[in-house]
Amino acid sequence: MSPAHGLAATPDGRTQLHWESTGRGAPVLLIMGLGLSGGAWWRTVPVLARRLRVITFDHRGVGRSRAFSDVYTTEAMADDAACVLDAAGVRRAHVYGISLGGMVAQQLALRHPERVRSIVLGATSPGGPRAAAPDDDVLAFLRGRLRMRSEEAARASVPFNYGPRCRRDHAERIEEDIAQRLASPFSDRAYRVQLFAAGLHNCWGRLPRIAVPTLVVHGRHDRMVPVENGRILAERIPGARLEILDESGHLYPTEEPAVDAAIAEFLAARDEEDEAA
Amino acid sequence: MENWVDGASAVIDAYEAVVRAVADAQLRLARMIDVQPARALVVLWADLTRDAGAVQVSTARWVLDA
Repeated sequence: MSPAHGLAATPDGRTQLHWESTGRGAPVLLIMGLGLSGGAWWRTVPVLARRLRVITFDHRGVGRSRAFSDVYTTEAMADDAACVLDAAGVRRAHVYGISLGGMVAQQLALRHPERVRSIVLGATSPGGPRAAAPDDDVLAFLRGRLRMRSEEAARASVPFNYGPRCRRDHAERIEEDIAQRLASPFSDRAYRVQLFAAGLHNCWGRLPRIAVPTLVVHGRHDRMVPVENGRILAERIPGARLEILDESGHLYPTEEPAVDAAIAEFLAARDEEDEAA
Repeated sequence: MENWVDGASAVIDAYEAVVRAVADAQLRLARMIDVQPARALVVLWADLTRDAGAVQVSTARWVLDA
C-alpha cells in the first residue's frame, strides 16, 4: 500500500514540506539527518508501521520539499517539523530523530513540548562546547564533501558511517544504503546550510528541561557523532534511558536492524502507559 | 558563579521568547497584507528575525556553556 502524503505549508507561506504517512496507530514523526530525505528511513518505516502511524518528511531544500532558507538553525528545523505535524493532523506525536534529526528532535521537545509524547535520540549530540567532537578525518570529510560527486562521497563516508563489523560482514547492506541514497537528488546548498545548523546547535544547558520519556540510542563505534554524546544526553535528560549498540557505528539502523523493533517497543510502551493512566 | 550563569541563562531565555513573539507577530502581519511584494518582504523580515535571533541565542548559549 502506498503511503498517504501531502505538502505542509510553513507560516512563511512559500515553503512546502513533503511528508508521508504509513501505518495506523499512535503517530511517530521521524526526522532524518544531514542532507538526506525522509526516504532514507526506508529500513525503519516498515518496522515501526506495524504498530504505529509513521510520518516522514523532507527537510526544507531537500528531496520533494520546496523553497529554501540561506540561514538554517535547528530551531527553524524544529518549527518546520511542527508544521508537518499540523499538516498531518497530529496534535502530539512520538518523535524519533537520527543525527542532525536528533538535534531537531531536542529542539522540538524544548520549543513545542505540547507536541511531543516521547523522544528517541539516535546517534546525535547535545551540541555546544561540552559535546564530544568527531575526529579530524571526519571533519575533513564533512568539509570536503561538497567537492565530491554523489557516489564518490557516499563511498568515502563508509568508514565514518558504519562500524567495523558491518563493513566486514554486511557489505551488501551498505551497498543498499548507497543505492537508496543515490536515487534521491542531493542538494549541495541544503547540505551546506544544514551543516551550519548542526555546528551551531546547542541544547546542552536546556536538556534538563526535557520532560518527556526519552530513549538515547548510540553505536559504540560511531565516528560521526562520538558515543560520548549519547552518554551526555542520557545523563542530562531526566529519566532518559541509554542503549549503546556495541557493534555499531553511526548508521545503526543498517548495522543493527533489530533496533527498530526495540524502538517500536519503547514507543508502544509509552502509549500503554497513557492508556493505563 | 552559578547564580550568574542562572541569571544569564534566564536573560537568554527571555530574549528567545521575545524573538519568537516578534517573528510570530510579523508573520501574522504578513498574512493580513494582500499586496506583493510587500507581503513577501514582511515574511522575509520575519525569517530574518527568527534566524538571526536563533544564531544570537545559540552563540550566547555556547559562551555560557563553555
